[in-house]
Amino acid sequence: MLDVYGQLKFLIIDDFPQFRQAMKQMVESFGAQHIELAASAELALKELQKRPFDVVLADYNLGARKNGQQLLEEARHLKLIKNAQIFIMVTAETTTDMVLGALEYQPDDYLTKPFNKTMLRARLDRILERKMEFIDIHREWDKGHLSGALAACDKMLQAKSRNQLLCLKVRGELCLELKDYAKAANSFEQVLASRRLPWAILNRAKVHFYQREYGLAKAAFRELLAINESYVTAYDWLALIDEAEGRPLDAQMKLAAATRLSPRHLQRQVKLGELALHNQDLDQAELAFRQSVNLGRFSCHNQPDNYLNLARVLLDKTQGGSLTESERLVKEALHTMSEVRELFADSGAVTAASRILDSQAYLRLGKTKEAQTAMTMAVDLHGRFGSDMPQQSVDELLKLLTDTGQVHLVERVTKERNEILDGKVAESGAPAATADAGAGENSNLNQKGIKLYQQGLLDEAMQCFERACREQPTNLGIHLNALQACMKLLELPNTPQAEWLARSKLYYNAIEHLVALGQHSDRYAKLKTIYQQMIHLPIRD
Amino acid sequence: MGQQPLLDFSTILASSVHDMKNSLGMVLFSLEEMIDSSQENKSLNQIHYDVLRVNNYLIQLLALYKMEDSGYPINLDEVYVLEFVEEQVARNRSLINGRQLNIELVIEPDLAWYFDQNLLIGVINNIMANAIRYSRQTVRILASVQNDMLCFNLDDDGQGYPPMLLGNLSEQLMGVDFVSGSTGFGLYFSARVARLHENAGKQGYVVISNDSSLNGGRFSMYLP
Repeated sequence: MLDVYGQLKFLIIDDFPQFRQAMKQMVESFGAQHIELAASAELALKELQKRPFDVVLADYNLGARKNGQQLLEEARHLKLIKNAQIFIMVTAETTTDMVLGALEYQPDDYLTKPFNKTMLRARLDRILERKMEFIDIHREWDKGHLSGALAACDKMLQAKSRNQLLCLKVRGELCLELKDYAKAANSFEQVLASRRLPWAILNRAKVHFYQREYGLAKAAFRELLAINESYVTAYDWLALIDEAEGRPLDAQMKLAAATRLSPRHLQRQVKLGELALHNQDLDQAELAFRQSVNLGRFSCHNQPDNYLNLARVLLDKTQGGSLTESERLVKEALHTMSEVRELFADSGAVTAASRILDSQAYLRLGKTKEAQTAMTMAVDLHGRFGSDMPQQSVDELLKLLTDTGQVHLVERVTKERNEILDGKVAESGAPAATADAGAGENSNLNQKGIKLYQQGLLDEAMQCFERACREQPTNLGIHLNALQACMKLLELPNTPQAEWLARSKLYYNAIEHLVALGQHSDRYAKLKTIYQQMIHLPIRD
Repeated sequence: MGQQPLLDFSTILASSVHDMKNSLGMVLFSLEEMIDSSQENKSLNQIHYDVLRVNNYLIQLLALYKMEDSGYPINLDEVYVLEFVEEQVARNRSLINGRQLNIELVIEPDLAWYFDQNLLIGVINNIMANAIRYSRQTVRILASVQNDMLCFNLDDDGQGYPPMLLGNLSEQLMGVDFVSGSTGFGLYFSARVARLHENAGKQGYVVISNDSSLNGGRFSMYLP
């Protein structure tokens, strides 16, 4: 094995230089030669973008910014770390909380400090051996050949390897992605026949959910909570069931319970905030959105909406409050808007939305001059970035203008709105010179695609959108068109499901990335909901 | 509805334990470097033993706190016992070498069972540290399935356990006298861990005896 370690590329991430050194010396002691060190998650991501690594050893605690789990999530999300590569989380805590907390992306293993080089070597030997067994499966999966991966899985199961249970788990996950629910259920049932392991109960319950067997799903998630009341993810799923069965208030209660157990997961807080807002529970919404803002600072899942929603809730709460209380809320709203502008400076749409809320805030304080300035800025920004702005913001703007009697501005904005809705889909928002140069051909491709789509010629429409996406990889609107066409195609009976699901996923991921970078579109929220329903995605942590 | 949680003791505990373990990690690393390169090992080994003891206490304290406070979130998974034990031996390798002990493992390589790895690490570390301290020459670890339970035995060739500690621990009343001293404390912890493991109505338990295959003491843990 000594030779093996000499060939592997190691990346060691820890914010303490002594630990970095210590781990480097440990791996060197058993033959490692290619070792890079990083002092933070951000620096680690830079390294990962330069070249692929075979083994990543990351401490969970990486200082004040992104932690090891967030690093893993972002690296997997951006495909900088694939199934075939090893990621080990080093931690001083008990790992159970982390195992239960890390939902979508789990590291290959956890290593509890303190450990010595003998242990590290023993653990790495074990993991490498295991990875070798799964190599065919991982290769196919990383290439997106899900059925190939599944075939390799079945082959491994027949060979009765040591890693039977793990193989069944992988098989189950593959089947879930392929939406083959019967086979997925069967995989997890086989594990449960040996022992009712919590992860198998959880996965079997998820399949029940996707099969809309809500009664059975509920029972299984409750079983998890009975085994262990800190099984946070069970609450997430019970909340989804509540939502599916039309009980948003119950869903909110469950998510609130989950956040009390696990307050640091961003997406759950966001979901809680949105639900609370829907249920008009402003107190809960305020807490959840504030927590989202605090958590979101270092996450790749940070969204401008978290800031905007927080400001909205704060301003809503000023209605009927005392003067001092209102002042406090408004100040916080303004501060939040200032922060969102800083973080998403590249997005005209976000800046516009923030100015609109600024204006509302100033009006609450009676500062009409500042309110007017902000309104003018917003109108101006709408002129340039209107097609990227969500309808909610535009409605807020129109209301502001109407309430302050600015009829001519109302007319102007309305006119611009109509032009946008008249089929000029997402042509603005890309400020780069190259984009302008290609804009002519690009808008032709896009328009052509739209026409074909409207005529029902979906395959041809997809070809146009695909080309347009390649030529303008940062154009959100075109990617949204592509995703929409993919989903339309998936509704047709003769479409090969696995292939088009994989394609939709690529467009969806690209869209998520562009949105995280600050782009915005009215259609995004709607398409996202439809897409997630289509592939039955739960809350991800 | 929805109050911001105040800083509570479990947070303080978790974060200070985390810091302590970081420090211990550095101490152990430096120590092992010194042991590797030094001839004079006796005092270093004593230091090593004491540091590991402190670390074991920390692990057990945190876990016990969770059990008392909000319930320990047990995480059952399939574990290959031989690999698992080999890793704990590797963790204590310096100590073992320092005392020039033989460690014998009598475990089928294909033996796999279901338990919470983290908790068992705490148990085995503690018991092994004791055995290394009190054994003369050999420590033997055996594992097998008997009557649908995993039977895990750790035998030493030392003086054997004192009468106060003998018996089926899950039935004994373990008072303050029992747990003062790291052996008693470690056994108390083991008994709690064993009891947390349940399957089909059966719970795990620990038995202490001097029926050792090496004529010393025997620690037996049964997991369903």
